[in-house]
Amino acid sequence: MEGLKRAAKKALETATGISPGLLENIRSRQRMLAILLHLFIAVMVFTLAFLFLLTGVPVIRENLIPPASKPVSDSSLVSGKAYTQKINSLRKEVTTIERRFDAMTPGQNYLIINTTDNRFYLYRHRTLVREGFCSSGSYIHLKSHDEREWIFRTPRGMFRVLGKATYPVWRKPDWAFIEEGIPVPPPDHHSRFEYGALGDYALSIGDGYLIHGTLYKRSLGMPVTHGCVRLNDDDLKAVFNALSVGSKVYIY
Amino acid sequence: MPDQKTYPHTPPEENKSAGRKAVRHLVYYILAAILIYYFILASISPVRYIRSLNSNFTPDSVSLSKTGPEYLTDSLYLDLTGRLAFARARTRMAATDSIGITVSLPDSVITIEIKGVTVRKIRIVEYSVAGSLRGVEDYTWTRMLAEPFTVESEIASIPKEPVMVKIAPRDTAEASAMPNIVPDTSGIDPVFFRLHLSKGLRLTVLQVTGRDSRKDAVALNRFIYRRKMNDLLVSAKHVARFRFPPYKPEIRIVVPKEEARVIYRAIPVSGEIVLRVK
Repeated sequence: MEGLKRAAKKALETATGISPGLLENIRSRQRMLAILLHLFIAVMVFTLAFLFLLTGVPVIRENLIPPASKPVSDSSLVSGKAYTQKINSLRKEVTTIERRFDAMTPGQNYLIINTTDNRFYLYRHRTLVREGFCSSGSYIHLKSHDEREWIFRTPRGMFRVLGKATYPVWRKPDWAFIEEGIPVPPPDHHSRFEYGALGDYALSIGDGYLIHGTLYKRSLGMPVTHGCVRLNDDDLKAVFNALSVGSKVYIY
Repeated sequence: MPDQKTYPHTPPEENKSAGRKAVRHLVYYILAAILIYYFILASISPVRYIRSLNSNFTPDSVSLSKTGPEYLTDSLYLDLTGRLAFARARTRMAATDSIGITVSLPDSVITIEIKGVTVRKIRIVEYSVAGSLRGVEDYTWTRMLAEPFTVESEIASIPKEPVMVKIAPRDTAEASAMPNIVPDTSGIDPVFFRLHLSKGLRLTVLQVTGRDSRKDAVALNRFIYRRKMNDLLVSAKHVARFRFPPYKPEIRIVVPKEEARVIYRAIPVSGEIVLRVK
């Protein structure tokens, strides 16, 4: 066998004039090409399989389910008295629940505050009467050196106006001093009381949160407060006059 | 006597290549078998899910004694029971203190509600419902949607609360030297989120990605393919253990960008969502 091969090689060499080295070179290149081709095919097969699993299977399996039976209008059923009674009682029930749901919207004045866009909407008898920019909690998480911490966020949900005040005085809490690197004074120290910082009016919604004015009007529309809601002077006046103690404030 | 280890007329090189070929074919056959096995299990799971829904929310004997089975295929009756279920679910959600979301696909509207008061109404630009949900019977829908869904987990491209940590300065000099806090950039970041709801549903909300915002389109594709990769990995783990992969049909909603941000920030952790599909 080996002898035959050798003889064939020699015959090829004499016939074509190609040396055995060159022939070997060509063969090794051919082998390399074949390996690369197989590698390419393998990569392609694996990629296609992966894509099929990733995108093909979810699409195909969604469409393998037969649709449910379609509702019909059965004439023999519709003509019955029981059917009419049933449908009428259902209609009545739907209307009752929808009315009850609708009644949840206050007929009096109420305020909506959007803390994401920092906008407010004042409603009077279910009609939007005023809207504009406000400022809400900054989401700053303040950590003091004595292990105390605060997150300045505006609470969300439904609140009621618990109290109203004109020319309010701000009694600065501890964080107001800690934030500025000032030593915290005793509870009733005169440095705790700041006049004019809250504007002309303030409405309390509980837990120390207020709707008040601001000296920093350029920051309206941005989340910069310590949890209270700031409005500009005109909007604050309109809100103050429109809402009474007990009015609802919706914050989302 | 020919060599027992090799074939008498096959040269060793050809023998080797034949062996390699056989191994190659074997690998392809194994791969094909895995694919087919995965495909079969993955295709059965939606069928099982829809069947379990239809059987879990099947009309009970009490409601059947009141109406009779013939009502369950009547279009007007089903339409009214659907409306009733939606109204009841909204009322139940309004009884809680948290902010709730109502998604009405027939009206193409999402509303943010607090205690039954609509505080924001958002127009849905487009939506799609998983094809498998076509198999859910109308009566099943009405019973299934009569209760608000609870958000069990969520994945989003923006943080729920853009909390920034600030260490208090030691004195006024340090306070004045402190750099400004990095502002929340979610106003410019693309917004996509997926909510995993109770009863095995998924609600994906995507912002509109126009042709002019290439960055947003790239981010959207990255978000979608990451979620797909995650699903594939979870499914593969189940299939490897000879179990059916989990199936969660998806409702996909597209809304304007700023609205997507508002919706995501408004939904509380473990919040409630009321759906109306038909």
